[in-house]
Amino acid sequence: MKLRWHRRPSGHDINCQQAVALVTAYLDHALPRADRERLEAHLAECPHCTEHLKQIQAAIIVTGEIRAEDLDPLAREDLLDLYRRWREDPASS
Amino acid sequence: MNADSAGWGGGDMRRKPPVSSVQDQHRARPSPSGLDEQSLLMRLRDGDEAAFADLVGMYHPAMVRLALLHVRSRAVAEEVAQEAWLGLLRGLDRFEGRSSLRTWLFRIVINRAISTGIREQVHVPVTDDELELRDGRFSQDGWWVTPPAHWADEVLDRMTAPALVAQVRRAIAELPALQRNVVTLRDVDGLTAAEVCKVLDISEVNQRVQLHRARTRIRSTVEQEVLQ
Repeated sequence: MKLRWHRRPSGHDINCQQAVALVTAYLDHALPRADRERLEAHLAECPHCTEHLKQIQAAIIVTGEIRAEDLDPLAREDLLDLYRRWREDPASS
Repeated sequence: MNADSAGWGGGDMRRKPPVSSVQDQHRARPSPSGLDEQSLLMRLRDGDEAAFADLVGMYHPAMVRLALLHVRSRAVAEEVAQEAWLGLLRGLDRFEGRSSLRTWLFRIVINRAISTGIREQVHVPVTDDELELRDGRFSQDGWWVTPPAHWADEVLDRMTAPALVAQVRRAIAELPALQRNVVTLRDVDGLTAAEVCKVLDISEVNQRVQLHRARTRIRSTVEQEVLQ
């Protein structure tokens, strides 16, 4: 029971390593239809690859958290100064 | 500094994979504040300072973050980003809008940051071989040798944990330069694959390979942090 997914299940024809290699293209909706169907058939039968896909998605979400960073007010002021100098004299800035 | 060549196609209208609901709301944030780039650009041409302030609010933090992937200090990164803004103001009349403004700005920042970073000699990246080894969890015939521990659901509960985010930030800093750029643009700043190809001037296939490696590495970083 435990080793079930180590055996090649019938009905689809990619192994786990191949499935994992397709994940990035899959998430970008960039897989040709046949590959997408093979991958989805594999995922439907393989809890490990499904977990792997979820982990990649979790990693993407955590990475997205880095973004939560506001504009530094000092940097904003500097840039508005830059803008005003440029407005006054576009040639010299 | 002719970054504004050949327009790109924009939105991805293809069918969405069924498993990626979390991912979908996360991707493609063309304008975080809901402001429209084109109309801001028009207002900027009319001399509207508020439009400039809005654009700065939308893109400057991401530009500094991108520059920081290549240069040592925040001050230098700010300088690189500032130069890009000045480049925009100076070239405002010539900017054709064939690529998005964001793509154009990011591309200039990366090019300048790279040349500045080369002078500073920053970052000793790990090799791809090392990365492959870290994910060598398959048997010769391609099945899991060590199936993944199940933690994906758990991480969603604590995804904003500062320690976790800090580890991911560190992992990104250690990636080879191209992976670092690609994953930051895609997963931190939310650019589409097409935009990233344009900003970095790389092929679609290369973009995907770099992203795949970077995410694989980040996944294992998150795993170490979650399972420890």
